[in-house]
Amino acid sequence: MKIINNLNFKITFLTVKKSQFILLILCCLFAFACKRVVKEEEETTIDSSDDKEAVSTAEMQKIMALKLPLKTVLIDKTFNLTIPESATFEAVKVEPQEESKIGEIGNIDLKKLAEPYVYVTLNNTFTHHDELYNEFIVIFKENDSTRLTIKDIKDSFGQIDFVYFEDNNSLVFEQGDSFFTVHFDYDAVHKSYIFYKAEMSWSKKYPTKQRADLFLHLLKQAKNLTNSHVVGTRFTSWEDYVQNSPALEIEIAKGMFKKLEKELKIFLTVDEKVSPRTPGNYTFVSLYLAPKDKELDFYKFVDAVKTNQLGQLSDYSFRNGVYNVSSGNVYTVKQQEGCYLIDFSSKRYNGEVYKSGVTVICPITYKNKSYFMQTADEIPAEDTDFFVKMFSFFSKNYTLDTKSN
Amino acid sequence: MCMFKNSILASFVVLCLASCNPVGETIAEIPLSVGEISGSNVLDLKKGDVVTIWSKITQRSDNDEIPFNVKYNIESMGKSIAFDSLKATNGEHIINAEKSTESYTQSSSEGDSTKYYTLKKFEVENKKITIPEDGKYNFDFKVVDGDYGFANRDMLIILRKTR
Repeated sequence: MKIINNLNFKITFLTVKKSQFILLILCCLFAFACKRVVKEEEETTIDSSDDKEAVSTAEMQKIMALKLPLKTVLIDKTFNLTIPESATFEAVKVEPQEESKIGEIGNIDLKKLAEPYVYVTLNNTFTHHDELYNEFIVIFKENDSTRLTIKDIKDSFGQIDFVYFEDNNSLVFEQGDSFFTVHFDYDAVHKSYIFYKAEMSWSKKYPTKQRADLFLHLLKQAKNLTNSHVVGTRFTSWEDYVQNSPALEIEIAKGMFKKLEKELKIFLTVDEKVSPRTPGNYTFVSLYLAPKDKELDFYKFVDAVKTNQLGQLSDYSFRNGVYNVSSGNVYTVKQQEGCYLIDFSSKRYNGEVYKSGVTVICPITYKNKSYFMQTADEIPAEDTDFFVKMFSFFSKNYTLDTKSN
Repeated sequence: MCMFKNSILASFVVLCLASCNPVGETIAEIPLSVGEISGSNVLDLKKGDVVTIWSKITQRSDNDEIPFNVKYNIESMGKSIAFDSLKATNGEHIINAEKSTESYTQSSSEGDSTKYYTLKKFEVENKKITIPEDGKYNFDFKVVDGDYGFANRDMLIILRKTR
């Protein structure tokens, strides 16, 4: 009997234990299953893979064969340089003893030069604010045409990580994730070296392939500096720009326009103006959804400028509309491929005429609404064609994507 | 008694299943800045997936709370399937709340003084969207008013997926 009792007790004990055990397991499951937040970082990785390849002469020739409108400019009343049609330049004469930023070119110490040298900076949409890269040219006297060599230049840079292209007077390379193009020519008539350098900082995180491609295009520009047989050529359309320009520049423009496309099709409200920021945090292009009165004001202004009757408009200080007009300024308006190119000048108190560049404005009609796309900054007249072609294409297609890409 | 036990067990099982990952899997984190459209990468979603929009908000006790609206657009195959707006601070469900006391030094002609303020960070559930068809989706957001986004105020949209 005692045994039976004992057995009963054991069975009861086991039953209780079993159900408690199940409960315990369930509680554990409940507690551990409750993940409050799942954090999974989804970082976009930049293509920094090691797919670096040196560029063959044939590939370089392919880039050299791409269309590039050029113009010849006179520097320091002496040197004819051929630069891209869209570029502007600034040239200054530097006394060797003032030299601080360049130092040496190969084994030539600029501080020890006998004569001043010319320092030229080239500017365009993508060098503006050091957005993508910077480029400069140094022109200095040297009687010995064999003094400068690529080997010396290479040595002066120290450790170079990868050379994409090299010939007797050019070098495209990567160092510490920064990109460089170096090129020089010797001007035998003026016994001077023309030295070109372009640089993109390591902080610009773009795919390696696109950066290398850009720096080969810059080498093409550098190789054209002493080209004295410029054939007048122009880009005829946005598609033409896409096919012949560095892929990275086109990608940056398209990245900005992807946002503008969404603004146009979805987000923008009446009387709202947006200006998406570039990767370098600068403004580039703005888009405005104009109410009827502001749209009419703009055309009233354009007509008044064309007929030289701006002064007769009773109220032509249009503010916060399509284009800010101030009384006292002198305006000119040109029409090109559906866009308006507005140039203004104003007289300062001392009588000096002030000009700051051209604003490109392109009307866009989308679903019966009137939008105006315009350059966020005033740009040099030389650089307007890129914007005119880009705006004009967008105004017809509502995207910058072309069939070829 | 047995019935009672079974029902307890059943409710535990239900609770267990329901409590698995209650807020869902994070599928995108999208930083916002005023006047800019910020978007997700392309998201591969299935019919019936529920995407919840969460806002991660930082508030300082020494600043007035600035209400702000976020417009959003959900697109698939180039077509907008939802375009609406949400008030980022609105929502009952709050998670990952943190509170800390921060300080800064204020200088004046009377000398330097230390100012203290409370920094609150939290995530608030704003909207749930049920995906209508299998496909690739883009989520775009734009802050439309309020002056959010200055001085280290990191404002994020977090997308989480449940089924």
